[in-house]
Amino acid sequence: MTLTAVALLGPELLATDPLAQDLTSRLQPPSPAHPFGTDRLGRDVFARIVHGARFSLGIAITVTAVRFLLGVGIGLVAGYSGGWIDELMMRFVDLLFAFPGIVLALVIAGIAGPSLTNVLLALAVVGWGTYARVVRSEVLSVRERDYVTAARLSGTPRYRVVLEHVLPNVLGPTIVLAALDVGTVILATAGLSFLGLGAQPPTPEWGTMIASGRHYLQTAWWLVNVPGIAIVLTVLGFTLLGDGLRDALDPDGRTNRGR
Amino acid sequence: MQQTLSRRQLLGGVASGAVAMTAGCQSLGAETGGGSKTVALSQSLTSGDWSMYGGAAPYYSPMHETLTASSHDFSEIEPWLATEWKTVDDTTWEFRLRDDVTFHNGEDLTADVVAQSLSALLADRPLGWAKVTDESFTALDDRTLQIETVARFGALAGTLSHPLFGIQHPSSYERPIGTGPFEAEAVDADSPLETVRFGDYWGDEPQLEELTFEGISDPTTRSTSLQSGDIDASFEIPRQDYELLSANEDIQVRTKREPRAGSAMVNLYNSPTDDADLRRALNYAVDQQAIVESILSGIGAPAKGPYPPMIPWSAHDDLPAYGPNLERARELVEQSAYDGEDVELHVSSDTPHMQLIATRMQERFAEIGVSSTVRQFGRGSFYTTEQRADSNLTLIELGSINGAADYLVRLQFHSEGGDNAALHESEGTGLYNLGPDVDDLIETGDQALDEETKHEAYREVQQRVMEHGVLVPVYYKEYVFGQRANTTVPQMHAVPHMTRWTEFANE
Repeated sequence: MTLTAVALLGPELLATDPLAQDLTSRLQPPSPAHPFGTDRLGRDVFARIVHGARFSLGIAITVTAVRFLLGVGIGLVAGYSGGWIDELMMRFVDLLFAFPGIVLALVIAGIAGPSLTNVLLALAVVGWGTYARVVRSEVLSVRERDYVTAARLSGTPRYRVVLEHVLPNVLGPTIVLAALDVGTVILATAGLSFLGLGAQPPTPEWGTMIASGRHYLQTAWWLVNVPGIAIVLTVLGFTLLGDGLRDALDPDGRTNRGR
Repeated sequence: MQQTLSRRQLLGGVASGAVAMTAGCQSLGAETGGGSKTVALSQSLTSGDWSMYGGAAPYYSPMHETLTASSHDFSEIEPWLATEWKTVDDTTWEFRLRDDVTFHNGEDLTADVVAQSLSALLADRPLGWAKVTDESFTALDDRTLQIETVARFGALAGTLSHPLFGIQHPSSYERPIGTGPFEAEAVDADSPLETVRFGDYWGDEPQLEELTFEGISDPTTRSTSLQSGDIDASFEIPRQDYELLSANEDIQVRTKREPRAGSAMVNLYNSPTDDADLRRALNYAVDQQAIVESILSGIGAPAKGPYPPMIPWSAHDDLPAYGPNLERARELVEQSAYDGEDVELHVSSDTPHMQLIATRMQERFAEIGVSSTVRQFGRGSFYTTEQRADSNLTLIELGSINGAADYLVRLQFHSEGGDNAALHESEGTGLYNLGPDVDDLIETGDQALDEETKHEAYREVQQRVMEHGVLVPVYYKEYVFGQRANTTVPQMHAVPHMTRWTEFANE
């Protein structure tokens, strides 16, 4: 919640421009004027971290939402339809799993060119398979339950059976999965940006900040450590959120089956 | 904060003491005039296809030697394996070879062997910019080599000092067989290159018994390896570590100006930089002095033109500085046809200082009302024609590693030069080529056999290039060399690839 508040409100409340350069104040260590120090161009690292939260969180939530919608949709259709549709879709998912996700994202982002939008697309394209598998396995179990059979026999249209009787009963584990996934996406985004495929200068994205700061490890430790700690805390926060949601929504621990 | 620093200083002191004690023990065990040292380079000498040199790159390496050499300050071409040379006619040269040179396999250096070596090299790796082919070399007698260039080319002697023209004995390419002060029995790909003293070297006797070259691509790792004593010397120490290393008593760190410059090349054929007034405005906006002082840690010099003054025909002294002058820049933007389009700055993701320079430029351009976007590219795509054709400004660092830097002028500004040829041929455009008049000037310089004509032509090219804002000059490069304090100092060469290793030793 703190992070979300920082991402949403921080940039509006903060008076310091994260892009404003002041060469006379370059590489200043943390001080009351610059709580997280300044970088080579004299930009305030605190302001860049706060603005970076919006980028990192925004991308992570968008990517997770796209993965969630794609995965849940395909899992629902595959699980409920069965037969050759199920086979076709699940073999495609198997194909996706045959490639390491981050490598595939690297290839896509590399071909599409360096930009945050392309990173977003690359990560969204590779990560929805897990959702599809979890949802499909849940649907296979739910569709045989009495209330679903009753709805089907009473002449309820297929799409309404799926949306009103099946979907609500398979969402729990996927929401937990999504909460855990946000942290993974933040790490992947930072990784791709670190490699120069994501955010472009002067965007204050955390991975990009680490990439440009790593050359100053010996002389300006704050340039790497501060965004590094921001990433660690954020990922930890979403992991704990996911664990909490799992305890609340999925006490039987079924979420991990599809992973 | 004060407390943290004190603790660090204390730890640093303890570490330095320990290192000094260890170093002391090592030097006690090492005899003067012997011992071994390891030098770090930014790239491994044994990675890539260097089969024509026995598996090791001829750059930096003390194994292969060239016919000519560049002086340490890059001011003149010196004899090396060749003692003298002359032109016989417009395209024919004769080089007289030393008579006291022995290869690592024990055979003598003769004109016939050199002709075979260079012919084999050029058959395998055509070097069009050198104006020679595999059929250019003929031995007239044991000591006289005749070279026939494909066109009149005044810079041949300087060009032959390029490390790629290092002489490998053509009898075998299984291992490096050169004439240099160190030799290698074998080369393991992608591993450090281990060399030992060559006892029959014709020049000054090497001080060290063994000299190893290790590729360490990460600049920070090079710096920390030097501090920890894992290596004895390193090229390309990161500029930002200069002060830190200077304060370390166990390390000597020095800088040397290179015939190399960092510039933003401006695409003449892509809107909006096809407008000369806008290009001049961008030039007026950039503050080279501030960039050198802040981003380059004061290491280097603000540039006024494409080539640093150490290159004999550089027009640096004659070129007017554009600015910085934001007011004049704004006037020029007003005067131009610029209507708010985004100017694209392309940088390589391998050059972090260029990313900072691009970001600095972006802010300066915003101050004169020009919006811009920075895009970074991986090494694979950065140097492609497609990338450059899409850009408005491409930030590059370019320089010469041979005694004659002539090829740079043709490469960058001639319509048929490497940067422009593909687009000139396919679309009649190019990137940084101003047209037939400048092409003619470059050809005049290229073909001139007398220095004065060449210098005059190349200086005129630079004047025109700067008048039309074909590039935004940023800095003239200085490289940083660090070494352990218990080593003697090799004389730094303007071209680091040409460092002479005979002087490198234990103190």
